[in-house]
Amino acid sequence: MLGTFAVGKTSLVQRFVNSIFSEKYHTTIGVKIDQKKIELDENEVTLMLWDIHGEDEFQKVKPAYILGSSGYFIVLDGTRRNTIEVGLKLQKLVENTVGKIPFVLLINKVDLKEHWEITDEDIERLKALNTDIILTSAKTGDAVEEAFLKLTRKMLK
Amino acid sequence: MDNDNPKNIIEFLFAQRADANKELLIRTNPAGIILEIIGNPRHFSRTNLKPDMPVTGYFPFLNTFFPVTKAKQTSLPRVNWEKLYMDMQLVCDQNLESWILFSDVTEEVNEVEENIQHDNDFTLKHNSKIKHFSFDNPFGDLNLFDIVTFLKTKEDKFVPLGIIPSWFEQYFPQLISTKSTEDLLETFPYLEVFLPHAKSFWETKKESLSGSDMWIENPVGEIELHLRAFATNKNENNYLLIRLLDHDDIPVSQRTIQKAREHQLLYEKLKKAEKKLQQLLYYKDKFVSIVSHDLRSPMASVVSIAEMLLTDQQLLSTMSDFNREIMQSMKEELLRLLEYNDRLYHWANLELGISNSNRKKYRLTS
Ligand SMILES: Nc1nc2c(ncn2[C@@H]2O[C@H](COP(=O)(O)OP(=O)(O)OP(=O)(O)O)[C@@H](O)[C@H]2O)c(=O)[nH]1
Ligand SMILES: [Mg+2]
Repeated sequence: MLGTFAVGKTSLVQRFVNSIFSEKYHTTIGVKIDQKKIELDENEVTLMLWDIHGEDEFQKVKPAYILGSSGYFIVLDGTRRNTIEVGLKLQKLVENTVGKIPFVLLINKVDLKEHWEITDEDIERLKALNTDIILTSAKTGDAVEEAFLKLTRKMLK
Repeated sequence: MDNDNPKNIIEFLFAQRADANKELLIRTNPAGIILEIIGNPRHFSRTNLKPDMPVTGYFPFLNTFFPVTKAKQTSLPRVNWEKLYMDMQLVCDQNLESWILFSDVTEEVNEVEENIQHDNDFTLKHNSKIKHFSFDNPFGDLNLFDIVTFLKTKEDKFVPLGIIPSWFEQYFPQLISTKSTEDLLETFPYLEVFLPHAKSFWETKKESLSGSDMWIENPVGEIELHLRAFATNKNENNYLLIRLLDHDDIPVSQRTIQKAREHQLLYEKLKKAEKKLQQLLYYKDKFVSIVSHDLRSPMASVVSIAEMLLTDQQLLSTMSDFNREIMQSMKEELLRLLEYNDRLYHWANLELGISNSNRKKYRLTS
């Protein structure tokens, strides 16, 4: 899970793994790893989800965290347009570290769509990344499962 | 005690013990670089202690105390180091300089050596929890620093040493026996990123410490543990240490980052609100500008009509004095209104940043 702080990385993992959501913001300091077993097309897959602390001036994402990964999410917060910039930077970091591995772009907090700063034109431009863009909500659970399954499928290919 | 005065610190520290030959006082900067050595360094380190070197180079177990982030005073637990048993006092003053007083207490400990040895012995009791593992910890009682120590064997097995800290015993009892790398990774997947790094460090045979970043474990429910791993070597052996961090140890404390990020979010929200407000103000000015502009012409026409009527002698002669006065004051009111509207128009344009070069002159005669 990559993205700047407070975009909802931890919330998305919590929604997916434990089906819970909290409004309270408890920033992740350090790295948190969760495990989830899923059934996918009759295969049992164990996902190791690395919830990496938010990228900002306090904590930088280290290449070492990315090295062993077989896929990743870039998470943006629809209500904060400036989350795009960090997202794109992290995407570049991964590509420069491990090359082209599957990823999915998540624009989170779709339940707050009327307060979004990220516009349809922005999304149109993000399509240049050439990957799936999924609008999620960790709060309502919208498209969360779908997003994880989508990435898993891409990783298994 | 008064932390501000170094003299007081020295006096305070030396007052604790009597035998100056078995004392060593080191002053370091916040990063742990030695600034001053007082006392008998030979007694404490085989290598020659020198200023300008990191104190942790000589005493690696102090590694987790640097860099210093706040003034504090700590009595460190007794440590067994290079054949010595030492007590240590750590005082960080207001300038974040650290004073570390080492006291050799080997003699005292030797008296109870037998008991200690007995305590450290293999104690696998039937039907009871394993508390100690078979081998002594060459770094001493690191468990008192919430550190669990593993010896890494040539076959990449990990053997816990010495006394197991209580947090480890409580949350990770499955690891208190010789374990393979896979077993370790199953409990601490984070080590996947640290072990390759540790491996290269073990190969250097350096006796300093190399640490990982922090990671989080949720062994049960709400419990959140922040951990760090360290690799080190001693006498050609490789060791893996895992330390439970308490709040003070987290380098820039959790609370500070949390606050900073919350402030950043709040700031972004305020910026957004301000932008909205600016937009609203703009609309208001625009509205005033348009309305006042559109009111100008009809108002000016009405003033002209009033002026025309007031110069029509024939009409005026048909009016009573009272009506004529009303007519006159009506015109004056209209003029005042026109002037007011005009000012409003220019003010709104100023707010909008539109230059008022297109200002029209109105004849304001009464
Ligand atoms: N309305 C809404 N709020 C959300 C959603 N996802 C997360 N949040 C809120 O956004 C805030 C940040 O969520 P986190 O999951 O902690 O974000 P993070 O990316 O893990 O943040 P860091 O650990 O600081 O990097 C919290 O207050 C969440 O409750 C969502 O889908 N909708
Ligand atoms: Mg988080």
